[in-house]
Amino acid sequence: MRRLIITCCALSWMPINEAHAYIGPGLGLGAVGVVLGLLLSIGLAVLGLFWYPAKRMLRKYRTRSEKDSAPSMRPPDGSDDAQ
Amino acid sequence: MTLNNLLVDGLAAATGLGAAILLLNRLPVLPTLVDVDRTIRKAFHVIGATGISDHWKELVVPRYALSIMIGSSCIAVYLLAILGMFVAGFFAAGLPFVDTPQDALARLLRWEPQLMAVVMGIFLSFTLWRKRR
Repeated sequence: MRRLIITCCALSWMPINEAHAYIGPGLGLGAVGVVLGLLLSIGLAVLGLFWYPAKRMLRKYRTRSEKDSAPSMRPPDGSDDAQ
Repeated sequence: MTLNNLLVDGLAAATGLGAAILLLNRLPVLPTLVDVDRTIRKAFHVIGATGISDHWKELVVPRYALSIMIGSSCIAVYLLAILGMFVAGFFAAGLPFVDTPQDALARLLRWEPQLMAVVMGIFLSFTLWRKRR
């Protein structure tokens, strides 16, 4: 906390030039919309490219481990009538 | 701030706005926005639907993401082009009244022409909206 106060005091004494970075209301809203759209598209891409394949792999792994742990239901002659 | 300066600011803001509106009418901003909105709605519908398989979602969601990204990038380009047109119009109209090109650009960064452009823009959009109805 003390370090933060000292840093803030030091920064407040630094010379500040004008930023010349004004964005009007129309362009500002448009820029916010564009940024949100890009973030959403990145999120959807992550969902589609990583989450669903990972979910499928997990499901496959779980069903395989369940099959391995379950007792065999096949008849002794080897024919698979259940299918 | 003299009356002469205010008149020059008003003229430059009106020219910039006129150029920006001319470009805005020619660019497909609204269809792109509608398209992005429709794609976002479709994507959320597909993600939330329980009747759609994960395999299908895996195929479709990246395509929706690409479509939204392209649409958002197009809107960004359109906005930058409209801003560029406004700046160019403002600069061209204000240039004969100032000594150096830097002065014309510095004039754009003052609050008086910005306020004039906002008021004129609201007035113009209201007039166009009433005309279309």
